[in-house]
Amino acid sequence: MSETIKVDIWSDVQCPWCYIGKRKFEAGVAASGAEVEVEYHSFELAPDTPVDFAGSPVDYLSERKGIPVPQVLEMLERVTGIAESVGLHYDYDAVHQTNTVKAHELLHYAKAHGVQLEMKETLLKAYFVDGGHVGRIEDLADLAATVGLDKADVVRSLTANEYLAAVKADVAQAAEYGINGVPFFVIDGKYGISGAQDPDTFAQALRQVQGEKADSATTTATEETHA
Amino acid sequence: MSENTTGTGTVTETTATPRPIIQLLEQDDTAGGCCGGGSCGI
Repeated sequence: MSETIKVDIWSDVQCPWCYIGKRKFEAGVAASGAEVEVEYHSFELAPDTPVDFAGSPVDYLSERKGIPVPQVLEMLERVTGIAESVGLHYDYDAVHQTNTVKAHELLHYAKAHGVQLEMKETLLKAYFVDGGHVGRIEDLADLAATVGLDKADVVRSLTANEYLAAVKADVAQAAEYGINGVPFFVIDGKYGISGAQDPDTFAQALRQVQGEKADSATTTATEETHA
Repeated sequence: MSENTTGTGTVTETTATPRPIIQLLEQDDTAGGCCGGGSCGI
């Protein structure tokens, strides 16, 4: 029986490559046959964005980041095509650009209630596919209810900033690790993989860690035999 | 939200605390990633 491998993933709900990377990582895990325990961590790409930003991602990227509109459109077309290739149907015309700090707080709340993975998938799908709003507390509470969380308690938690410190701790940890882009995968607390890599890259990394764990277990057993 | 305009992902060898993350394998440096502005795009 193989040992479970811990994988920590830094990600933002409004990062198009994070959703693509999630699918590729999941395919890599399946190909490797490894047992993994995944924990998502917060990374805020645009913490200065108002919750009710009055504009589209195109407006945001062109006005706030100074990227020419034709270049923005080309980037979105490209990432939408790649998303399609992994079965994700991005709808940028419907995306609500917003601040994601409350979504990150919700992910910590969901982790405390044992449904972080379901919440992460729900938030990404809401943002990129369904045209949902992932910045407002009421909208987030509605999404939380779909994974079995108590809507009223989610509103209470988010209003009280219950997990804000946890979000900031994740951001600080990312900085300590030198992470400046997402998705970023930390495998077994040792190995870093950056970006939406192909499934094979994840599978190879997981197989290597599996091998190291097996070698370590063998060494330990041998030492105990000779003790 | 910011995307690397070239779709470039990077392998990061960190000086992390409490434990260092070390580079494991060769990774595709054209894999996409988001980095919140600056040198990146989306």
